[in-house]
Amino acid sequence: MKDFILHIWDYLREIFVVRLPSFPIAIRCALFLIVFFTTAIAELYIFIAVQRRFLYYRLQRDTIWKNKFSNILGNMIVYGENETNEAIVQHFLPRFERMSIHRSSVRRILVQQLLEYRESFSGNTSQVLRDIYLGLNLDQYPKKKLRSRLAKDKAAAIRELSLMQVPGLVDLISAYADKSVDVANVDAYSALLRLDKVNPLGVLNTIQQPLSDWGQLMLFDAIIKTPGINIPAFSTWLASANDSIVLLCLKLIAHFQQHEAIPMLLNLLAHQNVEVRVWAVRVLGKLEDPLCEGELVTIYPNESLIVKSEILGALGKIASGEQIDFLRSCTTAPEFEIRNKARELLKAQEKSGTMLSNNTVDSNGVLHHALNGF
Amino acid sequence: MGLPKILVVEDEALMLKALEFRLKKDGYDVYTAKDGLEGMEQINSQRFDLIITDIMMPYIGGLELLSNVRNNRETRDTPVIILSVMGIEQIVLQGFELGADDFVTKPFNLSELSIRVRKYLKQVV
Repeated sequence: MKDFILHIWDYLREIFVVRLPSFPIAIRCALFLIVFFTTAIAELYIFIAVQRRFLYYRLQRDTIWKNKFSNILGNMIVYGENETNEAIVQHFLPRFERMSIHRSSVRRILVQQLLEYRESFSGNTSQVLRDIYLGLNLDQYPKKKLRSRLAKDKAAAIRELSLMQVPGLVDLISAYADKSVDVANVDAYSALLRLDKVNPLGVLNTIQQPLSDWGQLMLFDAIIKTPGINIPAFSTWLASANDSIVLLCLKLIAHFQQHEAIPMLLNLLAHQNVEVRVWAVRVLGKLEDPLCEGELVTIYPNESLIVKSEILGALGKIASGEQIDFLRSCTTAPEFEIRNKARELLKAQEKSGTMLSNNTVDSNGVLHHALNGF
Repeated sequence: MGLPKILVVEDEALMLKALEFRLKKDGYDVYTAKDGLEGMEQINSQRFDLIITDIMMPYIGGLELLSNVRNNRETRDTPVIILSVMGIEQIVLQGFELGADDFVTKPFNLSELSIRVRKYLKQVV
């Protein structure tokens, strides 16, 4: 093996040192490129190997810290049920302080576990976790991150601070809401919803920027999951100039089944934004009020295909049996999607028995014709 | 007669540890599984007095596990408590239809869970 390596080495030395000056320029360039790329690939492999080694050590180290923290937190959770929160915090705080939480990598693990537990538990456990977080002054780091230029860091900081309900946060976060369209913005709104005890939904009045679908989902999630929010009539915001707020409130009306919003929803059927009209029709369908059917059928002829399809969907949900003739007329519509949907609805209503009570012998014949092949 | 046996199936390691600590402290013999597949293996290998399972898990979800438990003659009477996140009422309804005995919604109070566990184990004992 040694002889073989020496033989290769001699061969390479002869080519790259002894014979190199006698080679034509093209060969010399080619040899130079071979050396360059071979060295680059070797360096790349060494770099990857070193990185993997570092990652392995970091994972090992993180696992040790994770176990240490989870054991302390586990013990803290089951510690004396009759003890006050203050006593539990006093007992466990020194243990955390003895850990190297001044190191960001260790601190990150502890904060991650505190947040995870805080999301999962309520009551005393949740309160103790918050007290430990504040007792270790862990809020100072996300507060610094709020000044970061990276929206991702800002958003993470807002999420962390809001989950831990850090005192005085409402004023701090208000400054970040509606300044620009970025991810931190939506997190700031969600945090305000969770933290503002006086008027949590007041944030819906202040949002000027259009919310993306994701932003609406985040706010929807915050509104339905935050305990202690008095759910108002969301129809209040249906007249908002911000269409994304109108869309969000339409989804909330459907979620909370706010039937008193129906008159406002009917007004929205004339809204200039087609997405708002689609959602208004969808929500009317979800509220399943048969009194809306007439209005939906009235606007149908002048609507776009997407709204027409939604109207059929809404009529299918309401399924009072009063609009059977209308659905039948739709089975001969020029648009394939409409014809198909109308047939499916007729079939579904026939199965559920809605039609039987409202059908005449003549119309049964038409129905069987419409359902031919289904 | 030994301690009542509880199986906790949860994919979040931290949560699993907290539940294990708490239930052990309450005086139960606690077995853990980090996903639905491991949970099913344990259910098939021994009898439990109570099963606590998360909904969203890799390989086999909580509802599928529940369905398997209810379809097995040996385990069909074992009480099952499901842990779910807030705001997924559809899944809660589906769970009850499949035969879940109780639901605990995250975030939940550990003392409340203890009381519910005690209630089901009293019925068993």
